[in-house]
Amino acid sequence: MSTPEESFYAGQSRVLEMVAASTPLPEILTNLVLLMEAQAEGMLCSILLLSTDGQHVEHAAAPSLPPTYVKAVNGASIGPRNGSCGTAMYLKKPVVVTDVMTDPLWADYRPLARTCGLRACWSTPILSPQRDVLGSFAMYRQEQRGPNAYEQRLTEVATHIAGIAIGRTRAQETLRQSEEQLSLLQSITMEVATATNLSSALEVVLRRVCEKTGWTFGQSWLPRWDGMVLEVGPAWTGASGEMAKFRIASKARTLPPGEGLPGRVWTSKRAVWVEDVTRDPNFPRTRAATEAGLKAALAIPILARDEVMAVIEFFLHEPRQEDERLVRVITAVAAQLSLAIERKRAEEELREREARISLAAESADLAFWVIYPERNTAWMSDRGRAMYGFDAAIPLNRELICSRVHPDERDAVHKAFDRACASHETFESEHRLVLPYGKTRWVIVRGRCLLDEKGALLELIGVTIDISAQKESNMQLQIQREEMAHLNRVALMGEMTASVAHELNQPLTAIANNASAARRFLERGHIDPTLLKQLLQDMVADSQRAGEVIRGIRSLVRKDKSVRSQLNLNAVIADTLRLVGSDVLMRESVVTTELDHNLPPVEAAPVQMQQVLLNLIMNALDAVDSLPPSQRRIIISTRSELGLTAEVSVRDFGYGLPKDCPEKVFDHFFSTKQAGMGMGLTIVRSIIETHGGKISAENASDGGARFSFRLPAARKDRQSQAA
Amino acid sequence: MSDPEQTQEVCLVDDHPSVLRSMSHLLASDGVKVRAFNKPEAFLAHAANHPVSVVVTDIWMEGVTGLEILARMCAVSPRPRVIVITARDDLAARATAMAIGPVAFFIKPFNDEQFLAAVRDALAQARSS
Repeated sequence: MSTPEESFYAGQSRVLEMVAASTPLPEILTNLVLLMEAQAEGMLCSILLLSTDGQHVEHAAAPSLPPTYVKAVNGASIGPRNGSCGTAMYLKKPVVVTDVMTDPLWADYRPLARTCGLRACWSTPILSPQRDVLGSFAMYRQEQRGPNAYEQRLTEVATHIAGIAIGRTRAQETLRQSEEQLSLLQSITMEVATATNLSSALEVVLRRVCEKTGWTFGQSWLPRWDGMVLEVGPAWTGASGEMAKFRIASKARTLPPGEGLPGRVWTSKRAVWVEDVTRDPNFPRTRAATEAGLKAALAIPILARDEVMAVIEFFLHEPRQEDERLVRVITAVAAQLSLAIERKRAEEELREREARISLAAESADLAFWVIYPERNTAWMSDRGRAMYGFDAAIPLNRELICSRVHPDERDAVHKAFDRACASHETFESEHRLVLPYGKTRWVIVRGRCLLDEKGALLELIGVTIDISAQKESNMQLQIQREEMAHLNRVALMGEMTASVAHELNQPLTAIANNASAARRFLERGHIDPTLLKQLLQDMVADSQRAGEVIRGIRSLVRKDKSVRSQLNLNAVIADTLRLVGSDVLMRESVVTTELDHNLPPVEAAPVQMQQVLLNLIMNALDAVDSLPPSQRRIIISTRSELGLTAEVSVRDFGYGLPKDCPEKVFDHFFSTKQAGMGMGLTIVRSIIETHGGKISAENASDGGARFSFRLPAARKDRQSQAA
Repeated sequence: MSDPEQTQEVCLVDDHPSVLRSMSHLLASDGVKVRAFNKPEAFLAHAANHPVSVVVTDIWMEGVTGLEILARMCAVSPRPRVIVITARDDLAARATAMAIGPVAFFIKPFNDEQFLAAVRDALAQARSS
């Protein structure tokens, strides 16, 4: 047989073994209480726990106390005058009440104590190693007295063991809870990631949070399309339909920022806990909540890029003080959802952007590309790879892309890229690509730089446009235009028969006369050497003049006359008038000039300018042909606008242009003349326009037509170079 | 016979200086006395105060045309013999000129012998009239 001492130790060991074996806490504590009670005659013991809110007592073990007493004490508040246990927990030190019938601490519990036959109660707080109150151990006597030394020793042992048991259990509980939270988070993360849209992701979160954390009801709110108010979104109502009315009440309203629980969260972007919504001044759904029996509520924002995507709210049927741990868990869940949403949005945006780009690019036959200078890589749309002749699998970079540029233009393209990278400006380049098998393409490349928020270069994005077809047709057009212009010049020469004949025949006549005279003088045997010398000189001069005339005609008629130089249009007018002088004369017309002597030079092809003037003058001569000789007047004038342009107008006093649409004269095959081809003015316009100028036709207010063309003055820097 | 021939001179009108000079030389090389005018107005002013027996003129000139000179010559008495030279064979001009009645019509460049012969004929006609 063992001594009482030995059996007490054995009992303690048994209780500690139960702790080690993770026996449920109530069972451990009940055993502990029974062990203590066995150590002293007539002693009743109890263990109470401090509730998680730290404000109330919770029944843990009191196997020998009357059930009515146990029931009455459970859930009581702690405080400075709340019996022995409530006061001990509150004061964090032992409280010895020798007579519950007289002690002021027991004022509220005296009738209960009397009913249960309890007279003395000594309570000691159970503390954790960190000296937090976990609960209390109490000894009750049916007689009025204080504890003796042995009883105090027993209390020490009991509170020590209880502290170990409770602490250990709490730790295991916390571990279990965090494991649960972890698994909750994991399951939610998985499900949210696979959710196809925000609504279904919200449903997952609401359901999981309610299932795992014990909230009765969860509901989401989403900003309306215009961002002005929140509207109700998906909800989790559990298996029962008891939340239907509250759902309807929620659906019936929208919440502006700051209003109601979701509105507050929308504005603050933080979790808000309400102990009891039915007593909250800012809860518009109070009536519905009261009817549904909802009390405690928690609302948490779902953020994406700091923007509230949704607010989720959870409700309980009872009031509850804020539970930081729970808020943390649900906030973590919300963060998972936020991440998932951001990821989805980014994916969607990327997909949409790529789709848009591809669509636009394909429809416009554009190649789209991105160069990442940092990584020395590049991306190109399928069309782009086809355009540049790259296989789909080849990894690209800037060097490789530029290797397709025609060798003559590669340097310039590289420089344009470098300039864009350095200045962050847009760039544009027109150049040729040479594909692997020698095919050449004309392309326009346009690009710009994308910068990060710090202004550092992220990427160069751009498009390449294949303009080979346009180029070809442009070249065709150019050839046609030149062909037409040439024909026009030839035709002009034909029209200028008088001038051509006159200009050539005059010097030829003079040469023939002089030669004939010299021969005669020689035949007559007496010739003044001075006279002979003069005759010969005149003959040389006239033959040179004839040569010039021929050169002039040839240059007018020769093809490919578009080389430009700095020209004074006044001089071109003078030259042209010399050329047509005889025609003017023969047609008994008068051409007068009003020239601006400060006319700036223009950059133009001399022959083409002469061609323009010839066309206009010949037309003017035609226009005045049917008038009496005294009215056959033509005025050629020049002027400049601020030295920036040079303007020439040729004005006649004929019958004028078609009233309805003077500009029609520039159209192909429009002619008022019997013999005309209707091409002259079309060519004139195309010449002026290729020189960057404009030509207009109008009827002068006092009769006749006026054709004016204006060319930009040659650039000043080039002017000085020319000078 | 020699007297009037020596006093007879040919008026030459052409606004083209080198042509005018060459024709003067040509006529001079044939022994013809020449009075040259490079402006038709100057010739008309001269004709108003002096008898003109033979005039050689271009048709197309700045200011006054040769046709106008022809017309004016018709009004002068005795009527001068007119020889027309032109750089362009213009049908309308030729018709007009012929209607007024020149003694000869030459297109530049012309045959020197034929031209000088025409001048000599004109001078002879003027003398005999």
